Amino acid sequence: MRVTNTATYRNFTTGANNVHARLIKSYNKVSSGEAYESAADSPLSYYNSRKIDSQYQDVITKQALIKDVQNRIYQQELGARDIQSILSKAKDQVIYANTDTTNDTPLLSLRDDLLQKQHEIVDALNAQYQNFYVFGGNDISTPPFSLSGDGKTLTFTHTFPGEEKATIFEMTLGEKPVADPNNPPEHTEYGYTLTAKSSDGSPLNGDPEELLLKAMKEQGRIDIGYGSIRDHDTLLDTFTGGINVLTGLTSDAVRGGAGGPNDPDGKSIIDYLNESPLALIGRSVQAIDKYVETAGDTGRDRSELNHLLSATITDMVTTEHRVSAVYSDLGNKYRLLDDTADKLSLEKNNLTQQYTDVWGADPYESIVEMYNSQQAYNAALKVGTNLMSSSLFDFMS
Amino acid sequence: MVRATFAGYTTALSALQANQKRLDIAGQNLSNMNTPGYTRQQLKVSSVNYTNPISHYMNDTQAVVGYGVSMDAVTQIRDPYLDAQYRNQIQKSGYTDSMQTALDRLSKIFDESQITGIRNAFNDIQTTLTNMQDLGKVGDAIYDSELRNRMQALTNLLNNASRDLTTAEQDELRKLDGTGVNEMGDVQNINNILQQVGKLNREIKNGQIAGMDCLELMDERNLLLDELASYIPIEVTYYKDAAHDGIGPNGKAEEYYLDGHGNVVGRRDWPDDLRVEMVYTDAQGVTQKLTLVEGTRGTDHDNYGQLEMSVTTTNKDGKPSTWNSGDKTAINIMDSTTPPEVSLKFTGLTTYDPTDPTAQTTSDVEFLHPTNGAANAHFADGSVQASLDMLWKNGETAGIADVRGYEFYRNQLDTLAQAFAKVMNQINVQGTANGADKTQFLLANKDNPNFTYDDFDEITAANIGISQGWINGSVHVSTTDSTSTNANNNDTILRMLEAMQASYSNGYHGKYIDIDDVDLKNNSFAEYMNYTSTIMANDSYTNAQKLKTNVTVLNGIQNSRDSVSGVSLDEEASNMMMYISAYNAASRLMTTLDEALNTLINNTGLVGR
Repeated sequence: MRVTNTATYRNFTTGANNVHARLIKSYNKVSSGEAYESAADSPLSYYNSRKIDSQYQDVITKQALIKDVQNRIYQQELGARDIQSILSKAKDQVIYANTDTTNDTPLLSLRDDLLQKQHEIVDALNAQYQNFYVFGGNDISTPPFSLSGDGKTLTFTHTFPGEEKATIFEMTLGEKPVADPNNPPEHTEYGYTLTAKSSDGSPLNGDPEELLLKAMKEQGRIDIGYGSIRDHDTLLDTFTGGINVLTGLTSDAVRGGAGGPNDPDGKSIIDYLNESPLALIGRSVQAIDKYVETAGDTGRDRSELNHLLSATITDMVTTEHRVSAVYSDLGNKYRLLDDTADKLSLEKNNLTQQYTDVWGADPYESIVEMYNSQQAYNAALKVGTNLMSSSLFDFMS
Repeated sequence: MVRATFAGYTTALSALQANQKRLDIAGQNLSNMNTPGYTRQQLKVSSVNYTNPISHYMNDTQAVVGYGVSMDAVTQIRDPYLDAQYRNQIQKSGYTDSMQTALDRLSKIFDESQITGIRNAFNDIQTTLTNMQDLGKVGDAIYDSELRNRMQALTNLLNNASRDLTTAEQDELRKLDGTGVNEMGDVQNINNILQQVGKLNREIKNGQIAGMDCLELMDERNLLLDELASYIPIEVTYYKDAAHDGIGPNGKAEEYYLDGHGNVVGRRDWPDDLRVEMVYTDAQGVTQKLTLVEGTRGTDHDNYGQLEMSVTTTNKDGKPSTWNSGDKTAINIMDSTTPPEVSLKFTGLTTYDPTDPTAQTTSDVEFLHPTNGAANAHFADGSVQASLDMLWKNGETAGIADVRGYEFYRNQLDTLAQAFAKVMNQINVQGTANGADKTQFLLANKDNPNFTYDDFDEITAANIGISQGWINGSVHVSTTDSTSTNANNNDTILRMLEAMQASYSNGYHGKYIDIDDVDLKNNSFAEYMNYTSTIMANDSYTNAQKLKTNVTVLNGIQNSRDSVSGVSLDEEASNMMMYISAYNAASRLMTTLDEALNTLINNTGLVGR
């Protein structure tokens, strides 16, 4: 076969171009750390790497979010522990008031202290994290709780999902009215009366108890790497409503009927509220006030006060357990989030490794390839120099 | 034997002349070593026979010698079989090369390996929704605005991708027909080639009848035919056009040299004519040929055909508009509301029946845009067919499903845009009171100010945008139906988040969302984009491999062709040495003859002097 110069030069040009292209590709491989420059270089690697990339984005978003949620849950836990602690201290004061005080002055001091503790509980219920109220349920912007100066009226302000107006619940603690004057109870009973109104004066969409239960049913289930988004019940509930903390009723329990007409113990939400730390302390305050008002009365009888305080102490023990159950539940959620964060961290590492496997360039291999390509390109250029210099004409005289 | 006194001089002279001519040809070969299409030339010679032996000076005719060398012709060294092979291969390379150009263009839209594109925009939306699901962010105007911005970024990317796709499609059309743009399109190039080949056919034949070889013109014609073969499949035939040119005295197509009395004093073959035929497959799948250039038939442009293109589009008012090659302005489809329908028509060449020169037929072949998947006339290969395939085929309709053209990728984008808008709008409306407030849709056809929730099927990648309501603040991400039991603020966000992760195949029917008539081939939104990019990457990868193979084979054939027709520097150098030696020898012969004659004249008959 005849070898012609045009063919020789053309083949050389094609070869040199190919070698040069390989050299540039190997430079890019080393500098970018990626095995491929385009999807067409390896379609399947591209497909898998982009899938992994999407999963990775999801994981790091959840990782960032989980820290926030953990902090909030921790704040909720601290709040519940505060309430339990306050209740515990209040119980000590009530015991003291019941047993150790013999005159009114220390009793009034104890009463003031108990009133203070009521306000402390409300402060705990208004705890904030990053400028929002951790016990507000769905509504995080309105200060949810306030307590009247005499500790009798607890106001709960709540905006329901999808509504602009707020619903204002007022729970006033006082002596229960005597249902049958002919058959009055042996001892005075205290309890809440519940009223509600709209912030804009518009009519409410239900009676106050129903609406309060609706607020207690609210949940903040979020997809954070635990459970399945396809079934929200499996997701972690990150909300804890203030009334839920006070009553010890979880949103799931309320959704299951607790506090409503189908309550398993036949109790209404008011009954649960009457057993709340706030109610127990409040009725102690009111009982002391009632007793102190009888100062100077002939035949002054302390037995009614003692009876109520004794009953309150017993109820406080039960409620203390109920509140501690709330914060231990929150502690469990915190630990679950810890485990989920660990799982996400592991997943992130796995995804990083997977991505490197399908799209990353092996650094050692890339560098060797780059040097090989460099050598090949140098050799090609040398060949070109030889091609240009040699022909029979160079040897003709 | 007695010979003519100066006979040897003539012999030496012919040798000097022949070798001088050979050196000239070597010079011509070396000069054109790198001229595209040049075919190396050689001098065809024969020895001059002793043709007139009858002379009264001669004793006999037994020991005669020729009169030197005759220069018969300067010819090209070319192998027609290799030409046919080359043209057959270049049409394959032309197809894959043109297809690769189109796919490379598409990769700028769909390949997200180096850019953050549509898939990433979906991921960003999912990220925002993941953040928004948390307490305090649902219903927060800042996060609502963040989600709107993310969706705006997505719709902008979809709009841009759709526009880039239309631009690519328009460029493909302009590549086919460059009317009104700076570069000539394939239609203009093909027409120019046909015109030039038709003209060269006449020049070559006229030149050859006049006794010229016209080798350079033949090179020019061959080069044009090579170029034509890259556009469309052709077959080239050389033939004697006896029917048209007339038949010689002996019944053969020959050229006769006559003396002044009309006597035949010499003859040679009548120059060849050249026919170029286009090879295509008709609508019935039968291979057909259409003559594009027919030798030197007729006058002026009678011997070549012409190609025209027409494109039908739909204006925004819904009326069709047709553009033709003859129009003075460049084709513009940017505002068309339907895919362009492109058709080609080869027309104008009159063919003759060899058995009946008076019978004339004009053959036209139309390559019509396929309708309803029906395959029309088409080529097997060539860059024109690559452009037509990209413009015609959608990769899904039976019959024309072998290529995923622009329409396939446009359908993918439109399907994605429409599905996303439908799903997000449905979920947001679902979150309003009783799920009934249909004014609360988030995404719309931005070109339709009267767009309503139920008009989702008019949404495409080109027109998807944020709804006016969401922009002016009357629409928000729903914070859940306040009338429902167990409602939570983040229910709508959770549903959207679920929708972002859901795979759609004949809709999606979950516990909280129920979507009908959305089919993303069992992919989520982001995965569908990834799937589309990968299809494009696969097409590009496969085509690149084919192109590599085709170019390698083409180079092999080109090398073979060069080995026959190309100029070798060493060979020409060797020839030069050989010819100069022969030239020197002929000169020496003349000196020797001169010395012999000198001896005869000056040194003969002086015995004893």
